Amino acid sequence: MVKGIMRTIFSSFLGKVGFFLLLAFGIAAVVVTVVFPPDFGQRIWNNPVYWADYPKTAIPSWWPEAGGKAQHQVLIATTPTNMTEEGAGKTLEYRFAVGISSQSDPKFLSFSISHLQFQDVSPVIAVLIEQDGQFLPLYSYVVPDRFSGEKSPISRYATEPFRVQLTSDYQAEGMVKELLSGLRNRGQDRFTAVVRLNFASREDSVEEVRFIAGGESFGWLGTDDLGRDVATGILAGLPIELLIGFVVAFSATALGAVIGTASAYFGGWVDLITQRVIDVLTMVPTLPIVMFLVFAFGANLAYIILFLIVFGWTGLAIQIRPWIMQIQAEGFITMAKARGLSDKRIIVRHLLPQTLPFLFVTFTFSIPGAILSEAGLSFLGLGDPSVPTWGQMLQQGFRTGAIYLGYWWWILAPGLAIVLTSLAPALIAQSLEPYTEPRLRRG
Amino acid sequence: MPNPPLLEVRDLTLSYGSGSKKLTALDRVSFTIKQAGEALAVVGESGSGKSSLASAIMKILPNNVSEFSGSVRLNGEDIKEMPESQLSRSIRWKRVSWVPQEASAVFNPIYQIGRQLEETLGVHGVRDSQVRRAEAIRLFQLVGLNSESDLAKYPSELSGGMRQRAAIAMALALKPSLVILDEPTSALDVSLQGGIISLLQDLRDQFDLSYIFITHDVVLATKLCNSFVVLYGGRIAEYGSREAVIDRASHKYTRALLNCVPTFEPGQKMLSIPGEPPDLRKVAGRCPFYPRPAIRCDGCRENEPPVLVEVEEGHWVAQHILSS
Amino acid sequence: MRKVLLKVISYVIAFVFLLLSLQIVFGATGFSDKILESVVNEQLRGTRQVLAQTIRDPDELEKAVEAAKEDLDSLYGLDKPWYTRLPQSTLRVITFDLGEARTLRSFSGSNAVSDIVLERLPNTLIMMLPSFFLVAVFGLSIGVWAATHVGGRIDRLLSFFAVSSNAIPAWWISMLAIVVFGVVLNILPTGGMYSAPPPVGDISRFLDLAKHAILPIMSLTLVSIGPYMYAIRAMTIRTAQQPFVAYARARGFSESRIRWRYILLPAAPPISTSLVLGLVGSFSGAILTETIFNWQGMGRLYYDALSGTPDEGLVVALTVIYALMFMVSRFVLDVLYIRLDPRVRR
Repeated sequence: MVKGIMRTIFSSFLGKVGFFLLLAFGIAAVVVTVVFPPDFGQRIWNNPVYWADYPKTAIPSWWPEAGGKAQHQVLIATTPTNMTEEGAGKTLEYRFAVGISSQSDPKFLSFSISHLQFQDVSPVIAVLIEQDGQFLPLYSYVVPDRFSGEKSPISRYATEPFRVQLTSDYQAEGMVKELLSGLRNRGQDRFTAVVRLNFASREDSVEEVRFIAGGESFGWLGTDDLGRDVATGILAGLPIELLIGFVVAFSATALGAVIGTASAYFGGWVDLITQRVIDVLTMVPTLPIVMFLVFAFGANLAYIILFLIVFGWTGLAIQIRPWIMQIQAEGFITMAKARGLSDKRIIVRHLLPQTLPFLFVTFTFSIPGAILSEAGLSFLGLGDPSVPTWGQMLQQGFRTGAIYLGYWWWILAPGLAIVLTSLAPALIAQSLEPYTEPRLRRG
Repeated sequence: MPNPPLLEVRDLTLSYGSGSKKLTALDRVSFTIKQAGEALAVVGESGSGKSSLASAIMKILPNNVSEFSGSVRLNGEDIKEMPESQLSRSIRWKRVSWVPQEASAVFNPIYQIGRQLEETLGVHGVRDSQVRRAEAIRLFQLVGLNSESDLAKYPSELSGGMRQRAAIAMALALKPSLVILDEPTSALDVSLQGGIISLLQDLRDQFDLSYIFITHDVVLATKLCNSFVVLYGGRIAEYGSREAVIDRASHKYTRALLNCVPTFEPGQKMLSIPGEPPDLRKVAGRCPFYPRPAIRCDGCRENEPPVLVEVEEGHWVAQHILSS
Repeated sequence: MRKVLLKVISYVIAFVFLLLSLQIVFGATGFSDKILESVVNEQLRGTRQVLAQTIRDPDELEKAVEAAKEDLDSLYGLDKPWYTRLPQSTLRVITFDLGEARTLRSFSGSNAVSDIVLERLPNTLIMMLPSFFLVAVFGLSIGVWAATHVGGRIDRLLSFFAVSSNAIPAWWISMLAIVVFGVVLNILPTGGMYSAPPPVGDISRFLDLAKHAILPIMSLTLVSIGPYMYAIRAMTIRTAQQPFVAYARARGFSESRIRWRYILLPAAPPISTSLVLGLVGSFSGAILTETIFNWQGMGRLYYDALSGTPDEGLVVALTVIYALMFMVSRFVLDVLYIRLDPRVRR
């Protein structure tokens, strides 16, 4: 049966497209889940401090219009390029290759240092430019020494990095200007910045060093108003969207199948009550009610998924009745009972498997609906804030007026992501349309 | 010059689908109904293609027909090549009509039977509503239905037998010369079958009707029909008068089919033909009888379709031409 | 008739059940208490001011305010658990006493929920009815046309379009539309119902409104039409495959007769049902569209009530209204269906 389904999917061009698209997304989602930290949402995405070095509402770097603007570069190093040990101490050297656009200078140059730890004597920071083997000093700084009462190891810049804007720092600005104009005159498109840390003791350490060349364009998909890289957000949202889609669709389909089958099978008052319950559930407008429930119970992803399932299972429960009726009409059930099979066994082992292809189609078809519903809820501000979903990105864009200000990348990217992720299962479901006819079912 | 035969079908071929799924329902089927009052039985089992014959002759075909060739001549005119509008206007129902197999399914469930009957009359030019009503009454009486109460009923309110009669009444509405009956009694109890058959006999005598009687019940067909076509795998196995085909069956399939009919003899061993009916997707260009050794034609060869050979006057049998 | 009665009963049960559930949810999550507390506090503030004018001693003032608070608490039932308030509040809703909004106001300044809603409802209709009309007309004609030309290139294009519509959020298209037509091309307004300031004179006001309504109506229409067209096509095809259609053709009926009386007419009940259902359902969908286009309709009202400082009273009242509207329309539909289908009638 699986083979039959696969064959049907592949028999149509769009089915193949949908399948491979979904496969690609699935693989990407797995990769993202492995690579991204689990608290990405709270620690990184919703954390403005993390994005402080990034340009706000920057256009994607490949957009032609951005050619005139400098590309923002954030160069991060956690391990030094060079380490030399001298005496009791050591010097860590971090080299950064910074690109320069031929049309405009970077808006600013800066560097930042996170989480220094030293034992006794504070380290010295120096920033230099390397040119033709020569080192031109730009800036130097002695980290504040131990305060009275501070115990070793002394820690600095753990919560807030040490950030210096070289282009506005009195030490460095003149030199930077000269450097940049010199580079342009010589037609060079890059230079090497070096950050040197002189440590008095070998146990001293530093966590992260960054060099930033400010620009107005950044990344594959630009940035939002907090400077967050839209591309990263899209990637982070992928496993979550797929999770929502699959969990809601699967649960609603399973629930609807079991309840609908039991209702049609047992008939009598079981059927009556179930039909009334379904009537009630279908009589209420789904969106306002779910909005209300999320509003009342709180915007938690688990609740959202739960509510979507509760209002989603009725469709299949209604649709599966003709299938069961058909099987009943063929006398299959009577025969099974005559053979002494229990009701539960008949339903689970015989009825449901016969409807499996149809259930699979329904499942696939429900995925887009689930994703879109959650996106709609997020857009209205009812999404789970600790989890970055594409709907929320759109909500933030809308709230900050991205539409009117023309930040198209912020609007286009999450929406397109939603569309493609929903389109894949929709195409698959469409290619499996023949399975929705009860008369065509196979054993 | 003698009158052209009432119906002459030559090399009628009908296929659905294409490529590996091409299904050949009729393969070079030919027969003739010479004059009014004749009844031709088309006998076959499921999968023989007989159900497609009615649609083919009336040219009511689904969308996926890939091949439809041959000729169908009604009183000399080739109705197969006629444009659709002409068919609707002058041929369908006026000269050839049809009693479908599932009479229950063909009546529009939301209109009363009488109204549907009158509608047919109205579409074909009977303007006066009183005349239509009178005709409907007459037709119902003809088929043994109660014209007073039954005309006003909805199809779901009639029993199966009554619906069948209503379908026959409908088929006679425009006084056609040829009526195609597709398994008219298969859905009925045995006790009702006889009634339908005698009704058909009466009508034939009364109006000089000709029938094509499509069925799987050979014995029933002998009560009504004077010529027989035996169909298998879309091909004619044997064709001739009732006496020729039934009493002097020549093809092994015909003989086996007749042998399978049970008689009243107690303790009789029930016979069957070993093997399976052919898959209509695999018969093109081949002999459909070959896979079942018990019913192979004379000189049967696998990859060569048989041809009809006239073994005696008016009696044709599928055989393979001996190649030298 | 009996069927109709049964339907009425089930709808009433559903409504009562819904009401109760809403109130239970509200009570159990503590919102009900919150609302009433804030109402009490508002009143207390006023009382305090009045009392402060006569009582000079601060301690005495506090005691007087406390006494007033106790009175109010027992008046609103805050001193007892929330479920004791159920019968009262249910009664209030049934008698359409929807209460007052806490923060939002109608354009005329009233804070009675009924006033606010009545003001916004026509705006929603202005957007939805033309869209509904467009979907019906185009959906029907294209859907039926596609059903008679099954498998053709245009038919397959249509099917793809319908399937993709399922995967595309209408509100996102609206956003894109605003960017393209409003910002980049600058030929249509980017939101709101009228320009600011609105033009004088009835005709120019109407034209202004129409100009603002184009994008909302178009986006609503575009996304609903795909699935609807496809459903009509499917229903028409299914009906066309029925045996009685072949029988009619065999009896020499003309193609046009068959198309109208044998295909469309039997397909009409399910088609019209899904059309009306779609209309009713799009009421909920309008919430998103109105939000994006800053269209002051009921949907936008719901959004406003939920965002910022939530106006709980309004949220509850609006939810009830939505549910009621939905149920009434579905009820009417069910009754119509029962009347229309003679098979069911017998």
